[in-house]
Amino acid sequence: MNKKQIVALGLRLALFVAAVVAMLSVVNYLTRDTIADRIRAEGEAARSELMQGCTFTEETNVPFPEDTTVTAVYRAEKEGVFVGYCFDVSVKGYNEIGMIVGVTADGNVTGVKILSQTETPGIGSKAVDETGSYLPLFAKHDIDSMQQYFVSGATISSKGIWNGVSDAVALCELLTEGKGA
Amino acid sequence: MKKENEKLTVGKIFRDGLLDQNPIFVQLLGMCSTLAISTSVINALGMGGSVTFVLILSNLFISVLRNLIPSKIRIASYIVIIAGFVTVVDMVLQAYIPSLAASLGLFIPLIVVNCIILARAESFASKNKPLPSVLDGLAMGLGFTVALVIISAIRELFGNGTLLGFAVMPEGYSPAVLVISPVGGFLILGALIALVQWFRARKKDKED
Repeated sequence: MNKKQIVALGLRLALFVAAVVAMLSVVNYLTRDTIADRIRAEGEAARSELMQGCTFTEETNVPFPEDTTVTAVYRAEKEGVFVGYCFDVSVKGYNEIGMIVGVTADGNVTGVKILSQTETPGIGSKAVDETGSYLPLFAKHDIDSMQQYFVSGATISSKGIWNGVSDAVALCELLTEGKGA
Repeated sequence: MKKENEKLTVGKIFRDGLLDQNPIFVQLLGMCSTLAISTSVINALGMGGSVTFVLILSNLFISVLRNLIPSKIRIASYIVIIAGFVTVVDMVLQAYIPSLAASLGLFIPLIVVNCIILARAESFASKNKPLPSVLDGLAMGLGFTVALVIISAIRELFGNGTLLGFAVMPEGYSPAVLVISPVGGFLILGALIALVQWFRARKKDKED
């Protein structure tokens, strides 16, 4: 096969790829807003489950520490009284895990909700199962003693989740500092 | 395979897809996703529908383009076309049927590497006209869906006591967890394959 042939084949393949990309950009354009709305609604539902009866406002100007996995902070108030925060967290398990962590003003984790994950079904997925044995533990133990728990076979996923929750707790401490909490 | 010269009729295409060349029971293609998602009928229908959609469209486009795709880069071209349609399915499911997208999860993007689709592209669509290729995609997709629904109905009924999410087993039935587990999936698949083979062999004996 000479150079000319290789280039011709490469160009032909590039043409197919370009056509497929064009089709996908149309579909993406049509579904983008619906997907974004759905993700927003799922986030809202998860927050109101973590902090029942609260209203949420997104905090701006959050002094995010370096290397934190927290991506957004929502302040939770019940009848005008500050209760705690919900943190959007994006951590690395085996793949990207998107979750929301609820933390009360005194630093207790109210729960962990998984919004998006593609951990290996049957292995890593055990760590991100909200009805499984691992995630509910966060609401029962403090973050340091949680370090001793792992889902066997899913150490990397568990560790990733622990890192995210611990970042959320740390940021909560930082934000409530000097507020008499 | 043996009757390569048999005339291509609509009846044969559908008989191949549903029985004689059934992707799951006869060709044993796409076993990974078959065993993983066949724990509930809803998942089976969602997966079957997604695969059928991708099969029909990829067969159509590959058949239309079959004289434009140089044989040296055919596999790469097929994969680009298949991946394109799978991504469409993924985005549409995420936008409009999020619960299905969540329960099928990783297995939707993995349709790209499902060997049923590449096998039909290589062995059928690249050699036949668009209309038979579309019918072949539909027949193979239906065969895949029917097989998935049969497996998942058995697993959901005995492993969870429900069908399509509705409780059908009498109260007090304790679900056989084995049936839902991967081991149970293999056992049921094996038993069903044996049943289909027995049926086909018996029919052939009668014909001879």
